[in-house]
Amino acid sequence: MGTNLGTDDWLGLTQIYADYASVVDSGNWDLWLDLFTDDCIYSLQPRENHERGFPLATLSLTGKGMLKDRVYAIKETLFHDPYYQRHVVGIPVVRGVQPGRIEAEANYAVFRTKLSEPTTVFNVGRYLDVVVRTSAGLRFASRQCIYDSELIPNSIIYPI
Amino acid sequence: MTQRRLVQANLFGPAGFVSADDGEVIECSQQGFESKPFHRALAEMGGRDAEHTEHMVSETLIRGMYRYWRQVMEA
Repeated sequence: MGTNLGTDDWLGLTQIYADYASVVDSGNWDLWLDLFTDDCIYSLQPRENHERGFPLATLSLTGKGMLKDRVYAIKETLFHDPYYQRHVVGIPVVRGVQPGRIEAEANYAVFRTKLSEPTTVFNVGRYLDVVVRTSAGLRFASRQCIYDSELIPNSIIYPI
Repeated sequence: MTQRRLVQANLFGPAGFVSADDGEVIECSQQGFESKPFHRALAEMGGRDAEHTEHMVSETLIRGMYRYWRQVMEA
């Protein structure tokens, strides 16, 4: 398994990373769903558990149905103080390339802003991803968000 | 089994489907309590009895539990 990508795949990869950051900051959560395959994995896990091989995760969603459920919860059932979030995502590091499938990772920092308060650093870590080519373009088959600090400022409502 | 437990764990914790908003509500309440730091604050929801209600937005159940507990302990 190599790590060389053609120019088109590199452009596609950086585009989906940029699209993801744009979507999760937009507040339009339905767009978030469109970036995943139907049988995708999305997880949010502290680095401590990840590095020790423990499976317990803050969020562990398998399949687009569970992602839809999360979007419904955000919009309809979870009571929360609304906030803006702003993702700054690094350039992806390509870890493996197979036909139609790319393994990559990237650092991220998410800032949170509540309108009446200064912006704060909310969640920092890295994405571990599997991106696959579908008829609709590149999609995430798997996105693991591995965050560095085990301390979360109260709650995480929106997708990281 | 591990997979089942991971799915169950989605309910709890800081991003949990049933507990994330508990933290949010407590934060809002805390902000209210802090508004007069030189006083004590008491938050009550729906009176002091364990009367019947037509809805779930009530502390009737918890007051009813403590009323029963007191009844047992004082018996």
